[in-house]
Order: sequence, then structure tokens, then C-alpha cells
Amino acid sequence: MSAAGNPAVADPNPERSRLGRFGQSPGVRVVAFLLLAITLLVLFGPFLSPYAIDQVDWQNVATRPSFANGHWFGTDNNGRDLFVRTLRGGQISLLVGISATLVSVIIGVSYGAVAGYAGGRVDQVMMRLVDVLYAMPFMFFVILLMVLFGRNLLLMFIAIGAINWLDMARIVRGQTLSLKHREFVDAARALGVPPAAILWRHIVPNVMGVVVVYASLAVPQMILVESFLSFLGLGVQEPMTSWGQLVSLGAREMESAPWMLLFPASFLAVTLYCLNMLGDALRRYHDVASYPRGVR
Amino acid sequence: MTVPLLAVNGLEVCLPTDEGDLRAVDGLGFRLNEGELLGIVGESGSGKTQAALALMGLTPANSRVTGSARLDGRELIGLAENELNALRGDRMAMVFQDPQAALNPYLRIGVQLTEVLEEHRDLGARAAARHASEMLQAVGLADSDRLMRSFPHQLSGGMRQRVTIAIALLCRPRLLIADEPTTALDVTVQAQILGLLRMLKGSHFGAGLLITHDLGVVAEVCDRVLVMYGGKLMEIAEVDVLFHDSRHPYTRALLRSLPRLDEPDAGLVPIPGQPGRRTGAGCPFSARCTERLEQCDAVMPVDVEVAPGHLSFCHRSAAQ
Repeated sequence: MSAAGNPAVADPNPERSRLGRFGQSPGVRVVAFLLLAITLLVLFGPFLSPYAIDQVDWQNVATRPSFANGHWFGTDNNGRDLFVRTLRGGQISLLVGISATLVSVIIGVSYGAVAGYAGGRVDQVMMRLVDVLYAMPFMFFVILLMVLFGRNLLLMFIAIGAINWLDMARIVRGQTLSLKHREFVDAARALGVPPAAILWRHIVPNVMGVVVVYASLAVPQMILVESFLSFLGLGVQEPMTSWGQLVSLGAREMESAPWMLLFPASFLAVTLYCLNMLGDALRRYHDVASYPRGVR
Repeated sequence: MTVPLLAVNGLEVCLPTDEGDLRAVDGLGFRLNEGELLGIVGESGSGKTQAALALMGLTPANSRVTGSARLDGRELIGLAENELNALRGDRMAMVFQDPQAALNPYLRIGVQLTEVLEEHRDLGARAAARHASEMLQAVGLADSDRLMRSFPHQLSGGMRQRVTIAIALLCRPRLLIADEPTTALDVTVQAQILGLLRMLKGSHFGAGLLITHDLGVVAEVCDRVLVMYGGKLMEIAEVDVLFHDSRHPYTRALLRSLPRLDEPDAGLVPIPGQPGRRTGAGCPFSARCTERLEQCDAVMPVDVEVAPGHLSFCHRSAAQ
């Protein structure tokens, strides 16, 4: 039997080889490349076009894609350039996805870690509150916030993220419960490290692996929520736009101007697919990484 | 008489279980003098580790600890968490059994070393790092600057245990508790760590408790030995006295169960039965004892001072 095909032959550096395996998977590479390309295009693409996001071209209203007039993705029924609008909308969608995830990570990790480490009655009260919030119809909650306080981008980040932290809090709490009985936590306590420092320096870094995986799967979810809100007309304010809003507008003109739906929808679908694939690959990678010697 | 470095009196640790309270440590009392290394031996479940954890205030949250333990005259039992945190790592420190588990896998060695200094000493990052690096060299890790940047999994078992010892010694504690520091290591590394402990004893500033079930380790490095069984103190004596003139049947049974190089044909004599839960008010060892007397099941023997500094808790010792 050759050494390469024999799993019993130990790799001299298991950490590196696992990371290597993660990057070598062709699917992951393609997906990562696509995501990078979309991100770059969304960030710098708008500068390539001569048009601005709110600029109306009266000669070309709802025209099909053309290289001759510079409207590469065509125009919408207000005569605005769809190429610029799709990419600027992508900026908003990605921004919402990432910021809302960050909000949910920050709230969820601190809440879950505190509940898990404190344990006992504190834990009970904190997690019952999470259960109560879980029972609330959260879409309704976001819509209510949007209606009450007006359409505000910052508010939207916070509202979406603040509702999504519940899952994160549960995951982190579970991890913390098992971590706090590990010997290195006792060792830290035996050195007089106070609880807050133990949480921050010893528990949180140890749950980050799981958190990163979960967060990578949460980003597409957040983008989808934002798209849904925009589709309902509760998203970002004109002339700013997002993929969800563009899809909503495009869907109305589907028969007369299919490009209005096609471009933003493809961007949205491809991005969501890539993010999900990447998150899934990270999850599988982490499953292995959390059992370094194949035992325990 | 001078105040001992550590004076333990009537220490009890009660652990609630489904079948009622379990007294993991039951009326333990001893003194530890300056510069001394006291070994605590006993089978698994004899309460050695719980006793040590009680001194450090690390017993499980639902346990009850009573009695008294004074470190340099200061009572340790019943201290609030923040008062304990001021003492732990600074005045008293602990080395754990499994260095793999006692180090945080996600933090570099340097961070884990300087953490103690940050908590207890008002040192800048650079001064703390220099201090930590010196301590690593003191415990025999030469390439200390590179080690500070390493993660625990990049070190060998012996190196990791040296690191945990270095962490425990950083603030020069008065009391160092080592809970089976050599059990998780292979024999050659054990010898190195014992050498390190012996060296520390020579240069040390306080005193140490060495918890082990390995009598060989005790004979190597300790000054005095305390034998525990079923949470109770059985016998305490100087190392030489205990090995050659033990008065307690349990200690003698332990010694008989050791392999001996000088009498290869003698064979091993195991202690019959399993360490079990103590029933009744008598001696916890009575059920397995081959020299049991009538009163052993009913009455816990009081301490008999066989010789100065040599105490045995056995009716037989009293009779002699």
C-alpha cells in the first residue's frame, strides 16, 4: 500500500494539512473565487459606468441591454442604468448581510457565554427569555419597527441582527456549558483570574470556531431577510436600492422587460449559493477540526 | 512555637449525591512548615484531590466545605470569590494532572504565562514577558522566546508540564499544590519533572503539597507523607519513618502492593476488595483490613502519636 493512500500514516503537521484540504476542494475554490469576483465587482463596478445611480436617461427608458448606449444591463422603467443600480444594490445587500451578522454575533456570543458560564438560576432566566423571544413572530416585529421608526438603514441592521442573535446565544451557551468544566478553566481559576477575564480570554476564543461557521451561514440568511423586507417595500429608501428591491421592481415588469428581473436576481441567487456553500464547507471542516486526535 | 505556613484543622468537604451526602474529605488536619514538601497519598477516591481543591476554593459549586485552613495565619475556608482570586496564583498556586488539558488550546503559551502577572502584578506587557521568559528558563525550557509564541499542541507533554509549573511559580507563591503532576507523563519525563520539583524545593520560598498515588514519587522528593483513605487521615510521618516503620495497616498494605527491586521474588500483595463507601461510624478501612479488631467497625480511632511527628489513626497502634 502506498503511503499516500494509507490513513494510518500520520501527517507531520495535521493543522496545516487540514487547512490545505479545505482550500484544495475544487468546489470551495470556485465558490470562493466567485464570491471574491462579485464583491470586487459590486465595490468597484459602479465606477466603470458613466451613469449614476439616480441619473435618468430620457432617451432610454426601459431599454434592453446594449453596449452601444452604455447601459450594459439595460435600464429600468424610469430610465436609470441597471448595471449601476444592480451593483450599488449589491453593496447594500452585502453590507446588510455582514453588519446584521456582526450584530447577532456580538449580542449572541456575549449573552450565551454569560448565561452558560454563570449557570444555575441566572442561566435559567436568561435562556427562558430567549425562548420567549423565539416565540415572537419576528418578521412581524421587524415590519413593526420599520413602520414605527421609518425606513432607516442602521435600524434595519440592528433589527435583523438583534433578532437573529437567539440561535447564536443558544449555540454559544451550549458550548460554554461544556467548556467551563474543562481543566484549563479550573487552571485559570486556580491562578486567580476573575470570571470576566476567564470568559473573555478562555471561553470566547474556544467558541469562535463554531461561531464563525454559524455566522458564515447567517450572512446569506440576513441578505434574504433584507430582500424580503425590500420586496415588501420596507427596505432601503430610493434612490438607494438593494437586490431585493430590484427583484421586486423587476418582477412587475417581468413580461415587458425581463432583464430588469434577470440581472439582480442572478446576482442574488449566485451570491446566496456561494455563501451557503462556503458556510457548509466551513462547517464540515470544523467538524474535523474540533476532534484533533480523532478521540475525546 | 512558630506559626506554620499552612495549618489545616477539621477540613470537611461534603458532596451532595443522589444517595445523600458524600464526605469526600472528613476531618482532615495537618501542618505544613516552611520549606517542606508534604506528599499526600491514597487510592483513587480517597479525597486527596478534593482536599487540595478545597484549599484553593475550587470544589464544585454544590459542595459544602467546613473546617479551617490557615495560610500564613490567614483563613482560606469561606473566603469570597474575589478574595480568593487575590490569593490564588499569587500566594498559592496549583499544578494539574494533565498539562494537555490545563493549558488553553487556543492561546499562545506567552499569553497564558503573562495572564497571571497581569492579574497579580502591576507589570507592563514587556516586563511581564521578560519575567515569564526567565521563569521558563528556570524550569529548564531553554528556547523560551520561541516557546512563548507557540501553542500548547506544538509542545511535548514534558514541556507542557514544565510550562504549567512555570505558570504556577510566576508570582512566587507561598504554597504550591501539585495534583499528580507526573501521572499523565511517561517515565523518563516523570523523572525530569521530579528532578525539577527537587530543584524547586532547594530554591523555593514557601512549601508544597504533592498529591500522588505513586509512593515511589513520594520517596523521591517528599519530606513527610500523609496517607488518606475514605476521606480520612490514616497516618502521617516523615518519609523514612513511613517507609520503614509504618504503624498503620493501610499504609503497610499499600507498601506491600508495590513491586520491589531488592526482593524480586517477594511478589505483590494486593489489598483485597475495592475502596467503597464508608458505612457506620468506624474506620473506613475496616472492611478491607486484615488486622481488624472488634471496635474497628463502630469507633473511628483517634490519633496515636507513635513517635514525635508520627501519627497513626488505628486502634492497633493504640494497643501497642
